[in-house]
Amino acid sequence: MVMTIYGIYLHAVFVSLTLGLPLAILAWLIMWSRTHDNLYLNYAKTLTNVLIVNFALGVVTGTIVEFGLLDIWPTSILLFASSGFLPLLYEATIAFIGEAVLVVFFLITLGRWRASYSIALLIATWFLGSLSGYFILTANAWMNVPWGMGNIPRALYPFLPSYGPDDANVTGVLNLAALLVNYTLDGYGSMALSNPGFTHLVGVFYLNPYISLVNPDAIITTFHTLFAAYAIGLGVVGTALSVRYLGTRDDKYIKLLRPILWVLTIVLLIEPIVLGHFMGDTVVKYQPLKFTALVTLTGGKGVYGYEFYDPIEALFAYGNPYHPIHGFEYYLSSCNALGNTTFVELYEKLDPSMINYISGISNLTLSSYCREAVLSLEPIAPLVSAFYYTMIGSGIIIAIAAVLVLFTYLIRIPVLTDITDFINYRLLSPLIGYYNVLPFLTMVMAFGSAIAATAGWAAREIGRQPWTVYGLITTNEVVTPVPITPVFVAYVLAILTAIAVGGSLAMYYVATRPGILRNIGEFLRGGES
Amino acid sequence: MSIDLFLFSLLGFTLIMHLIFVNVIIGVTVLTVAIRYMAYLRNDPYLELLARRAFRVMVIFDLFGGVWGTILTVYMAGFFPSMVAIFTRVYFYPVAIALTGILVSIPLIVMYWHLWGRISPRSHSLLGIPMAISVLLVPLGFRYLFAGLNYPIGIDGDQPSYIAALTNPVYPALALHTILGGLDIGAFVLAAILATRSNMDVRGVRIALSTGMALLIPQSIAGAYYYVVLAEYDPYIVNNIAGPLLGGKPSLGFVYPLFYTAIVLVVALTIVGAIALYNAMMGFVNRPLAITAGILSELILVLMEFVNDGSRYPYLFLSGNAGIPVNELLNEAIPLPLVAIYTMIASTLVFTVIFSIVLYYGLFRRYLPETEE
Repeated sequence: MVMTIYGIYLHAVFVSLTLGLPLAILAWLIMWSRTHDNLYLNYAKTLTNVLIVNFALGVVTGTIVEFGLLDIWPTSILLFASSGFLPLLYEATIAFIGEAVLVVFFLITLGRWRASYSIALLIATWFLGSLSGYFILTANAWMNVPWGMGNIPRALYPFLPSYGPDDANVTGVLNLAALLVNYTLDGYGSMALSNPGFTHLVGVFYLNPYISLVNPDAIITTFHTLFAAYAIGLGVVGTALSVRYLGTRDDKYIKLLRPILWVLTIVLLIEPIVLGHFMGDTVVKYQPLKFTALVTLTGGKGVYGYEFYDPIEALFAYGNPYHPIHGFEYYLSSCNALGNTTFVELYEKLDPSMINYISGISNLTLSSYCREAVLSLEPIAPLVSAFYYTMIGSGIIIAIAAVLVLFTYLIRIPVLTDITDFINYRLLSPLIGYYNVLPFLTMVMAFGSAIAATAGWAAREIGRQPWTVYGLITTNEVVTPVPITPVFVAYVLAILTAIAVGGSLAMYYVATRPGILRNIGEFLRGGES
Repeated sequence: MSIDLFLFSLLGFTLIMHLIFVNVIIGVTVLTVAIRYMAYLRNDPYLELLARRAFRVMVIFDLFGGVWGTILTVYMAGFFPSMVAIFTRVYFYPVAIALTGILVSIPLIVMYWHLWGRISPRSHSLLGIPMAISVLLVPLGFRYLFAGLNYPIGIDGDQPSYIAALTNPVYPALALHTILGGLDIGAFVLAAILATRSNMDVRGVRIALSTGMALLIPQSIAGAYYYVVLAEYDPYIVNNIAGPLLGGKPSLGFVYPLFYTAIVLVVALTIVGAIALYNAMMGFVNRPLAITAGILSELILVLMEFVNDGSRYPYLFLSGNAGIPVNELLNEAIPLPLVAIYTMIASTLVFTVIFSIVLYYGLFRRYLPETEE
């Protein structure tokens, strides 16, 4: 788990830069084409080199994440073979391959082709990178909202909603569940997959592989996550320029900062306010248990009761501050609605051929199985909630910072500008200095975006417990049977850390030494100078 | 064509596309490190320039090799999930070794390039050693999976000991054949590139061709060794490869003609390479022959890998004269969307064409970014 979390976060950092840096380069190229000021072109070139180094690091860490999933969590192979089949194959064969080719094409033609061609090439590269994000996030979103499974999760957990159309074959799903349970009780659920003929035994269980592409959670998750990535990438560039400005007081850095701030502030006004809201709506609708966990810290003891009142959360979630929010007791009571039906009775009725595989849980009642899932989330609910409110707090701060930058430094609108000027010049200036306000707000937006994204993703993934696939597959059904020694974990963490440190240093080096372009030229010529 | 044959072929196509690039990466990396070390020992600026040129070829191929590796991985997991599950369970540590190679090699490649000329030649030469080792770790790790297809371990569901997995008897011969093949292909492809109009380099062609020609001998011996090992553990494969001329009783009619063709091409490569090398030693580059040698080496790789993998059909995991058939490992969890699969194939081909254009501009037209203005 530690290796996976570390690897995914590391990959997310590099991917955020891969998605955000092209927007900064684009802003400078547009400024260059409009003003013919070579300052913009030179910095666009330097940042392109940072992008290339970062892209390579993204590929390295992406490989870790991909193989980490396959190696450490082998049941995730099932995702590649079912709901994730199209998203992951499209990602590799359309988005990633295209992005990799075009980013190099952009590098070697930048400055040789006219600006409009380079801009078009960069937009295509950025679009394919974002498309890659959509495909990957679609696979992840299915684990949060298993779209196309219809009422099957609800049959096991009555408090869950229906997940889209009934595009799952009930017998196939029961076969799959029986095999995973059988091997889990025997040691490791993932062993089921390495049985030749496994998918033949399961049969077709996901009837429409296209349906995962239109998962509502995938669509909103994509926009929410991509905008967060854009903000982080742009924020890094903005911070670098701000730090330079603070160190040198050279106005060229403010000049370079302005076009980036246009993009960054717009992204940050849409991201937490609009997209964050829709993301929250999706959680309320499709992951009710997670929603309860998210509001644990403001819900008080009522969270562990049947229902409780939290006016602010209820207002955003239901549009009504007096709407009750379900507590854990509600979910436990819902489980009781399953009565005393046992798994053996369920399989006798629906899938008698697999009864032998569920002998370990044959007398377990569906209600106790359901209750166990609810109870397993209770202890970690405060942690999930802490991450959630960290994200909310950061989101509020970055939205305020974006407003302050937008209406004072980028566009002036009566009343609004008066308010932001008052805050910036009357309140902040005396505290931090007149010329430091803009760099300060830029860094607030940058660090706030990073904190919000980190905490938000943690709340999303930890809040999914005890399931890997919401309402269907639990975490202990996916882990590898291979014993992972502490030495191996330390070894992997050491390599990841080395990549993180080395990669960051490499990008810093490339960014602070524009002369490296000349070296690249020499290198690609074969060492001729 | 049946769906299992179609997907088996698609898997083979993806693998071969990946290997076309990977073999150049393996060979040229080792050659770069060796040439750079010689440059340091002899204090020869020309050799250092040649090493830089070779390294440039490797960097460009490395990008696309990695992309095809990713495509191959998702194809395997998507179409043959149980095969991947067996690999990740039985060959957990070999896969970890290969991954380590990938993870370590890319930062080392960046460092090796960037520190060239910035640290002492001795230190830089030493830095090449871990880089070359990390690049070699990738095939050394992943070839265990291929050995596992030929001599399966742990497919009965029992967790084998790691010693059993690591001491697969087919592995040493396969690994040796792979590494020598990679070195050989890298040398011939490098010679071909150095023979092009914009990269013309007589001495470089001579060095690369002589390396390639010299490696043909151990590579042929390694090939024969692999054949003998296969004959012991995989009679099904050997019967298909050997065909009637070599006393085999093939179940498949299309494999042995390709094997014979590959052998003929090896002979052709030997002749073409020898003439091109002779010309280079006489002081001029016979461009058509040097380029032909590079193309032939890749063509032989394609045919030999096709023979190596295709000869197991209709099985994936082989055991003696039988095994686990492809259709038993095929993904049945979803109705396979053929239109989507055709779209993926078309997309990869389109982007391969665009990559070829990038390669052309980057490698042959030297269409480079301007220096800082």
